[in-house]
Amino acid sequence: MIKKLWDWLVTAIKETLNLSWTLSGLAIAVLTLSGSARDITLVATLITLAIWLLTIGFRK
Amino acid sequence: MARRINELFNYLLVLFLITPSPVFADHVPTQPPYDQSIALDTSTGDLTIGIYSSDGFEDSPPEKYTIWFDISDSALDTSTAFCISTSFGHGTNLTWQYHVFSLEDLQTYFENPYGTFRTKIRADNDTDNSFSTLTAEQTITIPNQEPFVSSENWTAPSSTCNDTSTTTTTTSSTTSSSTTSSTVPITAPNAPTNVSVNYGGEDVYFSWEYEAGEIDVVEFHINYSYDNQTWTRVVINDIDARTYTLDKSFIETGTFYWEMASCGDLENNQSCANGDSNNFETTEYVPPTTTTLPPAPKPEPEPEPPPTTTTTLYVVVNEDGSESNYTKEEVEDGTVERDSERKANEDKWGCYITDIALLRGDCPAYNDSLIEDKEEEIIIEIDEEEPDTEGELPKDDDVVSDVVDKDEDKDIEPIKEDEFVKEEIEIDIEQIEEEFEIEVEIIELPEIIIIEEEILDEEEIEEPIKEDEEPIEEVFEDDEVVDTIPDRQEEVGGRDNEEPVEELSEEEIQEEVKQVEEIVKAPVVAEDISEEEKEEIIEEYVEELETEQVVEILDEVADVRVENLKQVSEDVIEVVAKVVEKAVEEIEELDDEQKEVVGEVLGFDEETAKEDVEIIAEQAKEDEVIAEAVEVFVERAVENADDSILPYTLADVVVEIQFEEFVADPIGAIIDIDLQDIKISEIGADLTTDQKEKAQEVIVPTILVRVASLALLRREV
Repeated sequence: MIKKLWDWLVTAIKETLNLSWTLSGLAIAVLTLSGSARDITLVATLITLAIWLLTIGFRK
Repeated sequence: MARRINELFNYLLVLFLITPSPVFADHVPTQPPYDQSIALDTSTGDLTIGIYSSDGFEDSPPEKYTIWFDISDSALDTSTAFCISTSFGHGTNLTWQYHVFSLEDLQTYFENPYGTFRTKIRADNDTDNSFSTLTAEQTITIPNQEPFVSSENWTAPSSTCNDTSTTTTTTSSTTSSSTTSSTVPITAPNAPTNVSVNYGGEDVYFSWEYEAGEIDVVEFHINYSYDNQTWTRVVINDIDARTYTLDKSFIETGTFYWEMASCGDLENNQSCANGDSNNFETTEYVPPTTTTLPPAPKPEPEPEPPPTTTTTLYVVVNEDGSESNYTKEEVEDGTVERDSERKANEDKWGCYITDIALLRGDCPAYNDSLIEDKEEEIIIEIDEEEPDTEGELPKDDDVVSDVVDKDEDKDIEPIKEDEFVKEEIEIDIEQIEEEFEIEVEIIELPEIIIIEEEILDEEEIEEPIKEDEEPIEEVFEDDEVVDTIPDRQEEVGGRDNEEPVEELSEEEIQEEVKQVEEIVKAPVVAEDISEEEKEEIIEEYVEELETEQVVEILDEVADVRVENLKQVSEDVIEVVAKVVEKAVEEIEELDDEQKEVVGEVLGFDEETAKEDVEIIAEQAKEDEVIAEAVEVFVERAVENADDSILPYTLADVVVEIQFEEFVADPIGAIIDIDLQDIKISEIGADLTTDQKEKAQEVIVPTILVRVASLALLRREV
């Protein structure tokens, strides 16, 4: 179980690194925005990232 | 096997994520009404309480509703208020049902049945001993007028409230009867359909259709309201009626909410069925002012004799000692001087003409003398095609042909037609050419056109010629301007005759900076005081500035542009920064033009400056980042003046501050989000045009690159 969790963690980091350019672009976008647009962009980015990482196995 | 389980787990996880959790929300055993209304019919005295049933997702649906009510100036107290139970319970999901307090009911409960009528409602299921929470208090004001008058022999009711949730034995029987009545499936007639409402600025016309059902309709109700809370009811007893006109005298300015219902016999426990409802804007009808015919015109009085005019004559002593009489106008318009010139020229050349006409070549004797003396020089100048008429003509050749012509011909006929003037000038020039033996090809027609332009200038025409002016030079200057304008447009490639944005030269910047320093008049502060004290002094100074002064300062700053303020002293920069902050804080006090000025200082586009400033002012009140950005904008703009080719705007400061905050506390920047404040429909409304453009420049490429990379990845796979 621990090994599986560890494997998932490694895969998640790899996936996040693959997304690094996209994430940096969205981070800049968040910094460019203000008010509710900033909040929703940030929340949407984080939720999408979480879903992306949680569904690694499913997408494979 | 493990792979199967993992797959199943992933499916379940996805299902969990995509399923909206409210689906599993657990309803309470008995829900309170989802909505409530209150309406008063001031003609009949009926007060109607509307109860909007729940969605039915409850274990113990209401068997009845208990309404607490009172007339008082303070909030409703259920321990002392009256209460009654409705005859109906939860019928159809999400429908309105009504309980009517008749005038007699009000007169029974209250000695003075007027004032603020307050109610709260609770849904009861006595069988399950389940009771909902109370609804919010709703009120309506009963006017102290007919028919709401006291009953003659009023006696206080024996009991105020029979609350079944607190009583025991008695409630059982009540409950059973109530349950029985609530089992009746249909208590209302069919609802009216296809309700249409027409409003053309006066009366409101209602029309509807109705199809009879199991329950007979007894009356139609049209409820209308201007606040969606307090409703006025129109009861239509004619069950065959399919139209109703609400008189314009009842129409107020505002949003007119209406709803239509058909009702059964309310006195016999039947209820109403709601039809359509909607709202629209109305305007209070103002009857037109009565027009009365004006009284017959009086006969016109005999015309008065024209006023006698007195002309003052001025006696002018001529050079030869003779005297001439002139009017005031003649003295002022230069006739005296011209007459003097004419006399002198007559004596010298034998031509009674002014100097201007003389130079134009109207006097043969003068022309001959010129040819003899300066023929060679003139030809050389003409060969060079120089438009320098100073060489051709004497220094005192202060000739403006139009003025000359005008003056010369004044006594005969004033010049009105431009064509005539042009023709005359051409003839005159030809005459000069003939006399001067000038070849035709050297004539520059454009110059003639320019002279025509000069003639068109009304001010010049009306202005008497002055001795110290040199109109010929002006003519050529105008010539240059006329020639230059199209050239500049061509160079710029401008459209619609727009001039390019002028870049200030170094000298102009220096000049503008000086003006800023002069206007700002930064308070003199001692060098040995601390920064805080200095800031306080500046703050006080800015606080005392009037709005006009604030705008004046900002106007100058907008002219010089904030980036160029690096040349002014630090104190002036601080004052300007505070002035910008003050202007944004007090944006409501500024008119549209002044808002534009503030926007230009903040680096907004001129077209959207006003709107953007309003957005920023609003955001600065709620968002600390924006408030700080406004505060430090001027200082940062000055600091970054040399670092960017593009103008430094407020959006740049916002990015800088947000980045600093993120670096200082990355987790805090993420979790410090109040999702309740987010309104999907208003996303982007609080962004300036500049911010929107910058965000687009970032987000769109990011998404496009991501999509492209995914496509490539798939192709590789």
